[in-house]
Amino acid sequence: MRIGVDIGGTFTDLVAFDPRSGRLETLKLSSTPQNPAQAVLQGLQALLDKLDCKPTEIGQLVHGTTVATNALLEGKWARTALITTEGFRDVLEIGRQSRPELYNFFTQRSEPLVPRHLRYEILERLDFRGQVLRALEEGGIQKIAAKLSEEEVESVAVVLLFSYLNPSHERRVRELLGAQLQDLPIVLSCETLPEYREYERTSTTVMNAALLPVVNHYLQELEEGTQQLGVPTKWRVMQSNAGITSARLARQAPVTLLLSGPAGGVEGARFIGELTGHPDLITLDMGGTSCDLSLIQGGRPRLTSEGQIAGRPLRVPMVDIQTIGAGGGSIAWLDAGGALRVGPKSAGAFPGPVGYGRGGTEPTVTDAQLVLGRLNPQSPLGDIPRLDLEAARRAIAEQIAQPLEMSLEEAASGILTVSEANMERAIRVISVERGYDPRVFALLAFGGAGPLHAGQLARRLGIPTVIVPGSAGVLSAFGLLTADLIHHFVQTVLQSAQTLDWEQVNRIYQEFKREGRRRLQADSVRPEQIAFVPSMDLRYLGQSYELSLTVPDRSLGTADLAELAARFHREHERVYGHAAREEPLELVNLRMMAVGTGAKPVLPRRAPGRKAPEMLGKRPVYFAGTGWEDCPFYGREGLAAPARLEGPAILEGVESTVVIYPGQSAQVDAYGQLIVEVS
Amino acid sequence: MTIDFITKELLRTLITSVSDEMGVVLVRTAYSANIKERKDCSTQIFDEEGRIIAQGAHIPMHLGSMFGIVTSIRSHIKDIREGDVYISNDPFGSASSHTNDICVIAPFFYHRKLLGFVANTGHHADVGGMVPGSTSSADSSIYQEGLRLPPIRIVNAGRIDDTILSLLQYNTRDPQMLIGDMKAQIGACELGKQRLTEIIERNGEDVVLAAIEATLDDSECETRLAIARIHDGEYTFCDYLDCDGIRGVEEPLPIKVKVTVKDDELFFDFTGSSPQVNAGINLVKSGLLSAVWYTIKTLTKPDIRINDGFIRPITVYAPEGSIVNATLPAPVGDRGNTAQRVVDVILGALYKALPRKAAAGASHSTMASICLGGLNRQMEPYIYVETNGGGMGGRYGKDGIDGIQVHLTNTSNLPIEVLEHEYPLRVKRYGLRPDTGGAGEYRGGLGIERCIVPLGHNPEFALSLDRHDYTPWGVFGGAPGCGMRVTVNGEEIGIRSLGVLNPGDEICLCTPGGGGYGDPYQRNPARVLVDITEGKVSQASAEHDYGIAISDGHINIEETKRLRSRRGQR
Repeated sequence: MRIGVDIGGTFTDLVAFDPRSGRLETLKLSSTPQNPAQAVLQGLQALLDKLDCKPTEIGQLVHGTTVATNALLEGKWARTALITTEGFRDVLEIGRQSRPELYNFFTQRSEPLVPRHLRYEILERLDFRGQVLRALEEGGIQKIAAKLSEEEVESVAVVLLFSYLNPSHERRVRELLGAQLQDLPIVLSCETLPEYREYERTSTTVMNAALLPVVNHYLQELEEGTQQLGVPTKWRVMQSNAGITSARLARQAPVTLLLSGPAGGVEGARFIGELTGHPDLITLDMGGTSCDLSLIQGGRPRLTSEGQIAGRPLRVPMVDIQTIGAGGGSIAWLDAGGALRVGPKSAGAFPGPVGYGRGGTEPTVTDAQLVLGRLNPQSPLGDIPRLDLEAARRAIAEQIAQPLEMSLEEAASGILTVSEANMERAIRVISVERGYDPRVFALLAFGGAGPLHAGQLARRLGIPTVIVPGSAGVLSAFGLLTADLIHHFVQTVLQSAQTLDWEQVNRIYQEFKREGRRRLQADSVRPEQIAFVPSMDLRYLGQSYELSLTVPDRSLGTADLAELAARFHREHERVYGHAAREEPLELVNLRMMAVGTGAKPVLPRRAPGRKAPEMLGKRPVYFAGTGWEDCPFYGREGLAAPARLEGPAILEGVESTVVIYPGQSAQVDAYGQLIVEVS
Repeated sequence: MTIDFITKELLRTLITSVSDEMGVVLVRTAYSANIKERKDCSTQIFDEEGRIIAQGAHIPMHLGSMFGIVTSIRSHIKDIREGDVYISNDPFGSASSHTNDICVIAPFFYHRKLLGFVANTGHHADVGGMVPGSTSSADSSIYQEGLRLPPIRIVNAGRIDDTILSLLQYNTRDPQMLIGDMKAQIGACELGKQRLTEIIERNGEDVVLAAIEATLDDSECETRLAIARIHDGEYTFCDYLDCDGIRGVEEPLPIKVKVTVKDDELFFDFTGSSPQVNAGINLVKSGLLSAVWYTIKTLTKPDIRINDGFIRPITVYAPEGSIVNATLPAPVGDRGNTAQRVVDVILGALYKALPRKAAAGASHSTMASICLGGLNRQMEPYIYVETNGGGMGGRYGKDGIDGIQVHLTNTSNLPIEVLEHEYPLRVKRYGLRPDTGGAGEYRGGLGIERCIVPLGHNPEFALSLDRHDYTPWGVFGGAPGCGMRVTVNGEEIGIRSLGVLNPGDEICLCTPGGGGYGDPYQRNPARVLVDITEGKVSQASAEHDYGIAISDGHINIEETKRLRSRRGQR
């Protein structure tokens, strides 16, 4: 039995998969934000009971956690110190000296994770080649150690200039501190992120140190609780890179967990894409308050190493997710000029849209869907027994339609149009603006509200196919079960490609592989399941931005240069529209992805349905352009392959409602995924 | 034609996104770090009369910098044809605020009818002239600031004119960058035209034009409503640029403004400002507009997009030939510090009218640039230029931010690990300057100190700084921030110095702190204690400036009471 547990803001989702029977079981319970482990353990026990499964039968336990992210957002990080080179303790605070908002006199920079008086300078200096300009003054470190214990810090980060080229000073600092402060976690920048640019390296290393005690404590509590349930299995944790790792390693590297939650959804989407023959996907996860978008290309989620969390840069590979404030609860309002706007303010889950009948008074996107007949007022939505159509109509009529002197339908339809224009814009950002043409991707929609909008968005963007997964509501938890074990490594070399020290390159790659193998085998991955994907960050000499190219997993040499250069020019041309074929190249970073492939769930094919899909009824639904139409609606759960539906049609499910727009048609595949043909 | 509110909002989003996308493609396809990394570029869409329809300004300094370009194009180019692209960088022809910014603009036709123009501007690192980088406060006329281009056709009915490209190539120290960026700018115009065509095809020409008209009217209405909330009256303020290092000038240079708020309109009158000077620090009218528009947008509605509607209720007058409305042949290349000061002066005038919104001590408000040039390790010439942040003024309810870029610029610093790798220089120190923020209930932000040593060579250096004599002022009883200071091996030098360094010389640039907000004796003692603990304010300053006595790391309440009451009797 394999179990995935994903903690969200409102719900904790559990998915269990039995590889022998192919049975998939899900469970949803309310999250316990005060102590997130509580819901996990409760859910685990409930799932075991439900499945009538012995604790010892659990073969794999995977967790998607928001504990690191929440600690950052809520300011609950540990008391951390920073040790850095003399003259540079303010690098962390000044950052890149730019301000977060251009047109706001009251803008604030996010508070440094280490206050100024806990940032200590030491005498030492390396030059840009990593050579020692000034030896480490060891006496100073003893004094700092005494201060650290006096200040009762819970962890310490060590970031020295140019340590990515020569880690000896940072390591010596750890030795000296460790001798005096046995239990203090010490995080070195040369190990967390051996990459150049001191502010970004400092920010990443400090974040790791500041989160380490928090994540450590949480995962320890979780492991102890799990053992008390009699489950001997060790936890694994989803990382921001959409790969999993052991909890043991995750405790040392909390900085790799900040997108643990959303990464599960992206990985689940990737798996569904593979299953349905769509390796190129744009994922649309729309809930109550926001909409997350990401891009999967060639069966791999697009990663970025230039992320930011709560205004702080973070240079570890993470899924490239674009979040906009457009959800079902986004509020429609009129601005001072009388134009209709939607969001970013949201009614959230509570009080929620007017139609929830829980005290919401401002009309939302969900209310517009309800008024236009897309949502069924009689169907329960979670713990809301029925939706209040009349209240939704009244709110839109009074607050939008009347002031704008238009009909109720036009106003409601307008709310959707405006909201979808914002989403369309965000999809263009993750595709067109990154050099990808959305028309060769499929749009995979999940979350409560995603499948309501996907067909219309796809049409606007020229996307030919929409996929709505069968288990759209627990896709993130499901993704935990399909993920590989993945570790990323990086090392800055910064050398001209022409005069590159290939021996050094091969040596660094060998070290990456040795470490990758060590980590994966410690997680009981067999050698034949391990694969390596080395890559290089290259640029034209003199440029200040890089492109990453994968390289063959073998010993490399000067002979490889010509082909590498040719590929670089092509990629530069693709991404930036031009190439400078005569310009010399510079190698900035070496990277390696170590992948341990695990057994993937094999979903059972559902038996083909014998009858045509059974219509539950018809109701009037409004579509812009064609107006009210009598539209059939179906139950999502009852549909089996090879059912085919012509739009307009509405599919009602427990977790979400799907709209098949006029002119579109939908097919259910053998695994219960819905494939909508847009054109 | 009337248009419904939803179509209007939809088209507003779409058209705004065209200006944004032009910016993205420009940044993505440009060659130089200036455009690519520092995003020193902006995009605009004009209608056929030259009204601003939409713009995507990455740098506020560009907000008004192309205002009037369409009129200028129309007076120079008689036969505007489909497929043409024009360029100009003439600061006196409404194309830019200095010659480095080259404006690229293309007419947009739909069914052979001219509907408008798409344009963008980018800062080119070098367009020739007296010094590398083309701008210097030492310039004595525009003719020393490199190539000055009137509106000329660079693409003729879809074909790039190689003669013009050669002309550009021959007149810059970095031809490859300039041409690469120029092509990216042309590409961005192409994208803009294509996206506008798609929008018109999808929605119909009449609908789009009506939506544009309505959007402009909406912006006007929003701006007027915001202005109407400011108390009517005349508000004046004057501040001075330092005169050190400017030929023939021995008195500080006033920048004076009278802001008149009447109903829902604003009038800016810069009469009384210094005449233009014999140094590159003059500002042309389009640069002045950038500063005014930036300030009003930020004060009233930060999320409003600047278009023709926004500017209708705003009138700006500055005497011709003054330092804020310079005329030919004034040098204007190094206008940054002047433009920044215009923002301060407007805020100085308005803070009493808008005590919560405008109220802030003056910020460092410089574009404190240092330039070092010499031969690098490969014996090739290098130029290192950097613009440094400083302290932001203390604000209503908030301290000023320490060590940050303010107002019209927002460039990033160069990481030390990049700087030392690329240049034969070593950074000795990069940090905050304690005790430089003006004392106040809300303290001014701290300035920055950056100390650099050249290795094994004798680089030339040039400084373009300000606020040494006239430091950032405080408001409502706040104290001024500490001024600009530059030293070589500890000896102070002039803020607009040019010179040569010896190997091992240490040049330290110390930028100003921000002015304080409110009476420092009203500052919460706990905040003073935090500042002392963090080493941002010294114990001596706490006692002297804030009336806070500290003993053994704690506030000495009795002594503090005594100190604070003593001030009351003064």
